[in-house]
Amino acid sequence: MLSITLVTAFLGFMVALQFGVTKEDKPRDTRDIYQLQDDLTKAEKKHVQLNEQLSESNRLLEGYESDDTKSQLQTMKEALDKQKELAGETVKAGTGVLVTVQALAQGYSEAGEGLNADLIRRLINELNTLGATDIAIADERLTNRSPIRMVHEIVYVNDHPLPDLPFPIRVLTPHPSDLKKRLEVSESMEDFAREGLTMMVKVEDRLKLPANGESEKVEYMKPVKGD
Amino acid sequence: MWLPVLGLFIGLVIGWFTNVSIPEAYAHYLSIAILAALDTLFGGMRAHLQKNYDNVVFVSGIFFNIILAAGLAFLGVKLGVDLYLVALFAFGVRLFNNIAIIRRLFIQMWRERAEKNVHKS
Repeated sequence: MLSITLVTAFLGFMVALQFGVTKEDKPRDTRDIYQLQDDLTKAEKKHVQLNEQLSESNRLLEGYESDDTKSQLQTMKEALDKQKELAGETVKAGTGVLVTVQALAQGYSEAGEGLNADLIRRLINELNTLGATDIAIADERLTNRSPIRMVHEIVYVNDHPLPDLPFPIRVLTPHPSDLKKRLEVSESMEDFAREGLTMMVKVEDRLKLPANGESEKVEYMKPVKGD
Repeated sequence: MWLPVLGLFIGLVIGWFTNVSIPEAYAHYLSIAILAALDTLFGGMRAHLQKNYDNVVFVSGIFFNIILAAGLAFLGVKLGVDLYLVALFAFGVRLFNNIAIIRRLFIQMWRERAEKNVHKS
């Protein structure tokens, strides 16, 4: 009886292990203390940001709920202006950097044949991670929905072709000199160099970004019917 | 009778809480080992019911079977043939056989007891 018990115990042990085989798939947390602190800081920042958004929304709600028609209208106007600003439909000015895209040297990609949509997209991603708030490529203001694509070897931004080299990219950011330094050692710089292009980065105290002229086509949104 | 069940439970608990993890590549070996253990266990039960149970045969059987099956699976991996299927097949067939025999023995025991009861009353 004892040997049978031992065998069944052994069997149970193996069955439990077998269950463990599929269970162990989730990745282990290998962050060290600095990464944890970093993540914590990020979470705290997010917390602050969300709180700000919440209080902003609450302020708006109060404005809407006030009995005074005039202040209701005022609040609506403010909200609309805010949305327009977010949608890039307003001219925006501030500190930033002026990036000039040009050929690396004479004879290199002077007609801009190295330029392609992926390159521009990667640059925009990089600018956004480096802290850019608003971007305009050769007078085309970028929004979240701005299309960037190739049509017959020419890059189109907002459905308009990019001009010949050199053209400017205007980037608004609260910390322009930081962005300049980081951009100069960025991957995009190397990507551009590989295509025979380069970027001249200049800090500007006052940079003006044009408004996005196209009004957005809203296809899949409907106003909510109030009760 | 309850001791083996208790043993199974203890084994499960130990396996669960020791948090030992087997890499997925070795899951095959483990499943074959489980099958071998099950096979031997039911073989032991059958032998016990048929009253020809031998402790040495039982204990040596389980380890020998596990090693053989795992060795076969390993050889299969090296040769690029799924040789573990051989062990799977053999153990599977024997498992079914043993369980069928155990079932028959139980039915026989139950009938004998029922007949006895009829005779008593």
